[in-house]
Amino acid sequence: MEKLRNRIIELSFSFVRNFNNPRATGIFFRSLVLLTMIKVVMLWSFSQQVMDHHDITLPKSWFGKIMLAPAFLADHNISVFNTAVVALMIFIFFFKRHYITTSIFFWLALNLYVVYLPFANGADMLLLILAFWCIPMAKHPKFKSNTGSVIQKAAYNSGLFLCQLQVVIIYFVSGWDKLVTRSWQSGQAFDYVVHFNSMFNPAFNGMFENPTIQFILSWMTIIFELAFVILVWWEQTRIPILIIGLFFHLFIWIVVSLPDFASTMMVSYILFLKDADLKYLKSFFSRQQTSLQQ
Amino acid sequence: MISKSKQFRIGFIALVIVAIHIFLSVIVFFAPEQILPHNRVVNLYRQLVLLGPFFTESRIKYSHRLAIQYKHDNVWSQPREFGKERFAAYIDQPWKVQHLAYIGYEKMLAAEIAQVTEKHTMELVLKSSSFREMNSFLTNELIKFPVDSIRILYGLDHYHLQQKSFSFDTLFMFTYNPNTVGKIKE
Repeated sequence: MEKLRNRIIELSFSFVRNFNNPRATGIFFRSLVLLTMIKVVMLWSFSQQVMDHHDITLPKSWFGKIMLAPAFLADHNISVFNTAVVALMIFIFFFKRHYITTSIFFWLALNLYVVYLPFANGADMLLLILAFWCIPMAKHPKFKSNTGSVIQKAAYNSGLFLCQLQVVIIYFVSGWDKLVTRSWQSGQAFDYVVHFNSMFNPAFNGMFENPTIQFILSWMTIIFELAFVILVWWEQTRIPILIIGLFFHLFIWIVVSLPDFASTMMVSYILFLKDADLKYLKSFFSRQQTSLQQ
Repeated sequence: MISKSKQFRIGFIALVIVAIHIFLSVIVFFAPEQILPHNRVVNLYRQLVLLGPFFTESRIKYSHRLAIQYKHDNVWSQPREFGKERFAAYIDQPWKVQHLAYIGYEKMLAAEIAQVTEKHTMELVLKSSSFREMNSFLTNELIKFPVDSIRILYGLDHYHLQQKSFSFDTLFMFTYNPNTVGKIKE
């Protein structure tokens, strides 16, 4: 009981002591903004084509109308919408993390989700929910009162933790489903994936046809997804599981043709880095550069 | 300077909020659907927080297939599968992700039309917004020249593990005059 009490006290203080890993969090936020911007640019012409034939329906409430006003602008003139989104994203990318910028980012992500709804997938939904948890992850304006400053840190750290939790939930939900599904247990699910039109990269035809390979890959996926849920919180296993995850998503990107989901997940890994990791990486690269120059 | 106990209280409130969020996620994920109330919170957690699962058996077992034929100068074209063409284009140029977005769009429209087809007559299907949207997209963005008739065949390719072969389940097939279908957007 005493142990639990101490743990609760320790956890409570971890929310208010400092802004946790502000550099890593900043890089994550900027990467997410950059990724969204790239997406808008890449889908510019296609979204124009779709909007020429697709109608967006107005919500009934005034709050809904105000929230989705940019989406209705897109319904009338998608070029103006896309230009405004990119311009605002550039501003958010370079401006310090302020509650206004994090809120605008969520607002734009919500409207992009509505505009992209006719062709949206899991990646768009993930981007939206990550953008939502990013709202409290701002350090500006700095609250002057002591209580305000502690509340600001608590909100910031909660946002960061909820973002991390979101990534973990995705792995848990997917891993659990695979664990209880017979075709994933037997590896046959991989056979389905290999024969899935418009998804499986034909450059890999014949490479995953062997039932033993399918069984191994199937269980590697299940074990990775469920192990990530636990191992990412432990200091000793955090970096190795993130490195495995990067390869896992590269595989999904290249073999299963899901670049947007894979890239969003890869960006979300920055959330699990600590400022000390970034410091280590920086000194590692500068050491490499020095040795190369010599 | 703020006291330690006040700091603890604020931190504890944050901890409780996070704990409630985890608790709700676990409940919504594990509890049988019959037990859960159908309210906004549950729906929100289902749709947004509990994202996935991805690659579920029901989704990877079937692939969508939409084939189009059009009649121009009284001659029917060869069947074209734009989804397949776009996927091949993406494999050739993997930075052009708009090809994958097209596949998602085609799938969404076709699935919506299939749903309408289940419940309504052909006449009503042709009037539905998803059909008008598909017709408008097809004639303006894909075929791009005047055609007398269009034939659309949509269904699911089902891969059979034992036989190592595909079977095709037709969900709808229409032959219609695109000029008689109402416009979707003025």
